[in-house]
Order: sequence, then structure tokens, then C-alpha cells
Amino acid sequence: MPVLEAPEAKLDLHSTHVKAAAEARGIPTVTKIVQSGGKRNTWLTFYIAGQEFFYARGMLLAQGSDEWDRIGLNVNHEASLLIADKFKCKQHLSSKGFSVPKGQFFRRRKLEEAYTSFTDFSGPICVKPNHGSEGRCVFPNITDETWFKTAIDRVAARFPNILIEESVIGEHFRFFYVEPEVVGIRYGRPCSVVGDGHSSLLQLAQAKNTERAERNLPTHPQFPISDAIHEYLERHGRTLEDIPPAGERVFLSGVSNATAGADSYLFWDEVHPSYREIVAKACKEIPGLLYSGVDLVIEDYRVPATDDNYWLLEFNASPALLPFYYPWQGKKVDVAARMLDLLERHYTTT
Amino acid sequence: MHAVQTFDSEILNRWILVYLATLIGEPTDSLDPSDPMSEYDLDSIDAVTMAIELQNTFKLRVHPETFMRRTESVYDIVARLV
Repeated sequence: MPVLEAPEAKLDLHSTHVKAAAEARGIPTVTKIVQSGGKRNTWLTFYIAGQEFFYARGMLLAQGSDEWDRIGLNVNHEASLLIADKFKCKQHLSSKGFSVPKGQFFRRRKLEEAYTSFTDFSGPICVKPNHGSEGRCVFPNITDETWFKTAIDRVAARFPNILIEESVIGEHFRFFYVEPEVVGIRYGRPCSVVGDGHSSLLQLAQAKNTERAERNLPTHPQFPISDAIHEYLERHGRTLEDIPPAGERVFLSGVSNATAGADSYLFWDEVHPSYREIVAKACKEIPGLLYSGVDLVIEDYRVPATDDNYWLLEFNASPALLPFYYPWQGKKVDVAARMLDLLERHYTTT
Repeated sequence: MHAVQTFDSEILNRWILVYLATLIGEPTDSLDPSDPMSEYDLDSIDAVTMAIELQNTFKLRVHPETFMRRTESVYDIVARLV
């Protein structure tokens, strides 16, 4: 696999933060281009404890012999198969005593079984791919059976395996874990607007986009006022022509991923420390997981965790760094620096 | 990929069919080894897990993409492995 030094090549924004953190520690970096399968990808490379690492767009690889002739293995490779399978990961964590949404796994070749599971749930339901990312094809808060079947069909159109689980109520967080602890907490508020008593939801959404354009944060691009928003509002009995009263917050989406138009707030002291402890313990129960973005829902983040007021949703082996550098509000966290510290600890001792 | 040693194609055929049948929740005898892999509709996680299990059982290196080739059958896959 051809690997060429390419100092003039443009790094992605995640990599520029890793580069800055490395150079602040006196770790030299080299930009390289790797040609594979007809594609050319730009990677940031550096050495720690004699081991070369490749980093690009959230993915961190330890260079070395790999039976499939890739550059190397994801530093989380031992954990990646388990956490990529959301249902198996859920079962694993539940067996260890952690709270997860109750759910079922279906293959799309047996869609009728998936459809009939509607009656297995007593509350709102979430339908999502068993192996997916960035909130794509995730349909939370379903209470209508017709929409339930539509959601299943939409997921099945793109993914062979479907996860159907209870749609838990609370605030969505991503905790950034770097062994042995949580180092950052992002609160993701799904795309929403606040009424002023005279503007329609469409006008409010357009104003939100104008503000996003002005602030120009890479993590908060303008969002499309798309069919997804229309559908979400329709399912909640609203349209873009509605004029909400002053102060009412109206959600335009049910997912809290940045890529779905959610706003990112960085918290720390605001969130009870018991949740950091739970996430750290959960990560330690996943063999080989050195760092991760952990998604969870918390009923009330100000009170201590109990067995039934939080739910671990999923773990990400190659978490995005940018939300911790470009929040809508909150103090930035240099998560790249923490990752480099981890590599120094882990690869020096192993 | 390469075979570390010579394998009985019948044993490999059977192993793969049993594995697929267990995975998709169907009786093994209902699966036809001449059917294309698209019949089993595996995702990438299924394919990687299957490749790892095959490797652990037979010490045979198989790229997970093998099981994602939708037009190939179990017979085709085994023929290349042996």
C-alpha cells in the first residue's frame, strides 16, 4: 500500500487539533497520503514510544502488520466489533448491571416479526440500524403503529439488521472517555427553536440558520429545512407555519447528533459526577476500549444516578473531536491532548 | 487469502451452512449452498464475525469481504478456499 509524505496535503479539522496537541508536546508530525483501493486519503502521522500512529477524521490507527494489508489496526480494534453491534453491546452491558434501553434485534429478511413487535413495548419506541452512525436512519419517540412500520421500512431499505428499543426520555449526552476516566461532556440538544409569539417555525428555523452562518462554527452548519423536519413536526401535530408562543421551545428533530442539526453545549460541573463514574466503569467492561464517545440519556443530570434514571445507548470507537473544540456554549476540552497522553501511557507500558 | 492446509470442501460447506442457518434463524437443511450470499443478507459486522469464527475453527484466513459478495454462493466461496 503506497504511503507518501505529503507536507502540502490538507488535513481534516479533527487532525489539525491532534497535530496541534502533538506539537505542543514536542511530538513531531508528518502528513502522509495513503493510496488504497483507488482512493487517496490524507493522514496525520506521529510516533509515540516507538510506535507510529495514523490519524484522520476521528480514526486512530497503530501502524503495524495487519493480515488484511491495511495501514494498521484501530487502537480500539479489540473493542470495535462488540461496540459496532449495538444489540450485542447492549446485552453485554446489561449483563454487567448497567442500564440500557430494552430492545430487540431483527433481520430485514423477517420484517413481519419486526412489525409485530410494536405491541411488545408499552411506551415510545426507537427504530434504528443495528450498525449505523451519526444518527442516520434513527427514528425515536414513535407511538403510532403506522409510523412504526414506516420507520422499520426506512431502516430496512438501507441496513440488513434493525434494532428496535424503548425510546427513553431524558437529555442526550456524549461523554468523551479516555482511559481511565471521562474527560469531556457534551450535551446535545436536538435541533430546536424558541418562539417569540409572532414568527412562524419556518421563520425561526431560518433565523437559527442565519445565526449559525454568522458564527460559522464547523460543528454547527446550517441545517436543511427538509422532509425530515416536516415529518417530525407532522408527527407531533405541528407544521412549519405554526407560530409558537414566546418562550416555547419547539423541537424540529428527535436526534441529538451534531450532523442532524443539534446544538452542542459542553458541561462539566453541571452534571452529577456519578454519571462520569458509571460511564468510566462501563468502558472498563468493554475489553480493549482505550477511548470512546459514549452516548447516554439522563433523566435529570443534576441528581445522582440510580439504576433507572439513565440509559447507555452506544459507544463509538472513533469519536469525533470537533464538538469538544467548537461548542455552541461551554468551555472547550482538549480531548486530542488527553488521547496523546493515553497513548504515551499505554504504549510505553505495553 | 490462502489456505494453510488442504480442507475437505464438504466439511467447510457444512460449517458455513450451519453458521449461516444459526445466524439467520432458519433450519440448516432449508439452506441451499448454491444460493447467492445475497439470500442471507449479511451486514459488515456479520461478515467480520463469520470470518473470525472461520479463522478460529479452521486456522484459515478469510477476508470478511468474501461473505459480502452478494452474487457468490457458498459453493463458490468454498471452492476458492480449498
